[in-house]
Amino acid sequence: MLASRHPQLNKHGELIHLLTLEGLPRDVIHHILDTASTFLSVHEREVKKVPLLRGKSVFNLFFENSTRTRTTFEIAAKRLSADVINLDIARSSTAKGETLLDTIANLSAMHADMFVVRHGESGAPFLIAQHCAPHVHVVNAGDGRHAHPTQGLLDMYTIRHYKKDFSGLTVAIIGDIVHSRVARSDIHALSILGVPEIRGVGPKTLVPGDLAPMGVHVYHDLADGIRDADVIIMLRLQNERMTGAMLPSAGEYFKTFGLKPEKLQLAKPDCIVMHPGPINRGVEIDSAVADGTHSVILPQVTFGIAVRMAVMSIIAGNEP
Amino acid sequence: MKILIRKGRLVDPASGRDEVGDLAIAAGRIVGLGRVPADFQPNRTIDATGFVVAPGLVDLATRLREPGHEHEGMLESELNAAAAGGVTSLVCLPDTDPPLDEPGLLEMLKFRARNLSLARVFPLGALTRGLGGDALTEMAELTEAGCIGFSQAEVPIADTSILLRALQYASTYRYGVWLRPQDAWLGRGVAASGPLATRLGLTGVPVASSVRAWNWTVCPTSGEAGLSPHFPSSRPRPAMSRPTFPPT
Amino acid sequence: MSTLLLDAEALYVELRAGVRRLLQPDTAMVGIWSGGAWLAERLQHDLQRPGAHGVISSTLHRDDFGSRGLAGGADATSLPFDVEGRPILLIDDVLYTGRTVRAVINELFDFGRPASVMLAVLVDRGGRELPIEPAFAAARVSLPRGQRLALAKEGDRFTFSIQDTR
Repeated sequence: MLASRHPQLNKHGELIHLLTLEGLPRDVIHHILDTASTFLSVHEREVKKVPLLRGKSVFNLFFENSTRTRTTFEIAAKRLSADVINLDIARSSTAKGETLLDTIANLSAMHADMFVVRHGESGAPFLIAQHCAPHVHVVNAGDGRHAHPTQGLLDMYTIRHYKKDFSGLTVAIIGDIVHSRVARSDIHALSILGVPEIRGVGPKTLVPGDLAPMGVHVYHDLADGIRDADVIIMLRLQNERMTGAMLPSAGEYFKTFGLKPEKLQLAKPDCIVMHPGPINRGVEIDSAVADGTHSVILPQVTFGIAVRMAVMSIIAGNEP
Repeated sequence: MKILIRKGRLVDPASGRDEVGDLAIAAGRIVGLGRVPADFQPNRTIDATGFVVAPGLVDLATRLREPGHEHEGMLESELNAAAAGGVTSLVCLPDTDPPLDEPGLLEMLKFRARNLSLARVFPLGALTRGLGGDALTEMAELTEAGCIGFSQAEVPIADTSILLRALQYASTYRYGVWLRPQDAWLGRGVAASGPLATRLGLTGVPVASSVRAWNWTVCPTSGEAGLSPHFPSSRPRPAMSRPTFPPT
Repeated sequence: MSTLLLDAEALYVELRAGVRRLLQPDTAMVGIWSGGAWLAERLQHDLQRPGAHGVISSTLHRDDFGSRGLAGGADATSLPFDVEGRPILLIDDVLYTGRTVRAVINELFDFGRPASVMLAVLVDRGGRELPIEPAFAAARVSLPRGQRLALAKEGDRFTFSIQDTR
């Protein structure tokens, strides 16, 4: 993560793994977004598949459960005609004490071409990328609290789709930023794409002051944070925050930081509201907003498949 | 055996010496430093041009892995590594498995180290049984078995009344207690709090953890208490006066 | 860059005559991106065909993805009619190994089952690596492997250029 060379770029500056958005050149990100719009049109065809990854095996290694994300990766890989194998890691070898690297070595021996990895420890996909065979590509589907690059990319795709130009935007990220890998990936991407005003909004226990070096203006008041925003990205509030004494209750959070229609009035009239899902109605977001005209939460899901198809096809076509 | 070490850079902090010169050893003692008696007839001469000649280095906090962590290292490997780096004396921490809270364990450790004859080992005994922070260890017995002081390694004692009693008991015999200032709850984290931990998504340990623990340990209590070298903060330490325990 | 004695404008006139003979009333003309697409656009206008021509890209079905990665033009395919049961006439500027046409046919079949597929090209330069033949070619030339023949558009005029690929 702190290496000065990019483990995810080959010597020609082409993407061979997708581990984090931090440090990626702007045109690599735009290339992924451009490719994603190609794949959106594939959905409209009678045959919704293209043969780009035919004959390749994509292994979904989800050390943390997530049916949603795993399903979108599976759909994306199958639309590229890849063979998809889902590995129920939690219940198998790791539970028996096998180390991460031994697991990877065993899977590589089964001729995997691509690993899509979600892991509870920050940095695990980097370790895998360093130790897998040279022709194998790694996609980070979320590591600890550190990064969720495909979510960051689909969020950027969504913003580009509705707003076209990043250079004049005010983007507010609201919620549990300190525990969110989605927020970190979004912040890096927004910064690389040249968004001038990135805001982090939430109580001090969830939005620390030391986000400033990442280029974020921190707000602890929802009204101030939302004012004149072009894009609002809501983050999911997890129950553990109550047990960890970061928040007293979901009710109080909704009262002070929940996104309700009257608060939304403070943003720009054409503001879009995004959410990585799954949404907690009545906790971080009011149903009226989630289902309202500003919400682009459902299109995000469609974009997510196209973005993942783009990422997989780009990295599979580049040699180490 | 008379040994002559020639033309090395002699570095001796005790005397403030830092110059190129010769060093003569006879019968295990230094008989000439800088300049050597003209009639010195060495059995062995070592050319130390370009090398530093210094008193053996002392590492104040090491882990020798025995007992309990032999898959990570053994006394031989650790002491060899020390000697290769010029470290001739090591203070080792008591967080072995089991922790060094029994005289027998200490005696075994010292015996093995002595037989290896690679570097001198000065063990710290556990301040509380099993490092659990509940019951005191037999500090007198442990000292007799060879420990030079007492420590909790990186396991803070949460119950401050027990910490006070442990310090009081140790001060009865004027034993040194080496404590890492670390609050039991604030200290739970994997990286120092700050922009880097936030950027990487790691649970941080705020400076308050050390400062709070330091303040408690040093200022209100008194007695013979020495503090370990690990103070994980760049902030200046509060001035430390010689502490004394309240009369009991 | 040098200009071979290939007058692209003159060859276009030949192509137009040949295509006119191949067309049935319901044939859809589809130009292969990018040179074939320019030709199809002009043909559609000059022959006063109803409706719109199609554009098709080989990018998603190419067989060199593993070595070259995803090439440009991946989102160029645009077929504003129903492929199912239609006679299709593919138009391209240069026919060489035949691999682009193979990929284009695969792409076409992702949209439906055409009644028939025919091919008309401006220049057939030989060197086929697959069993693909045009129904009409305005010119047949022979070029060494290391040279690439490409159609260019300057304003409204077509020109040919030859580039060394080495």
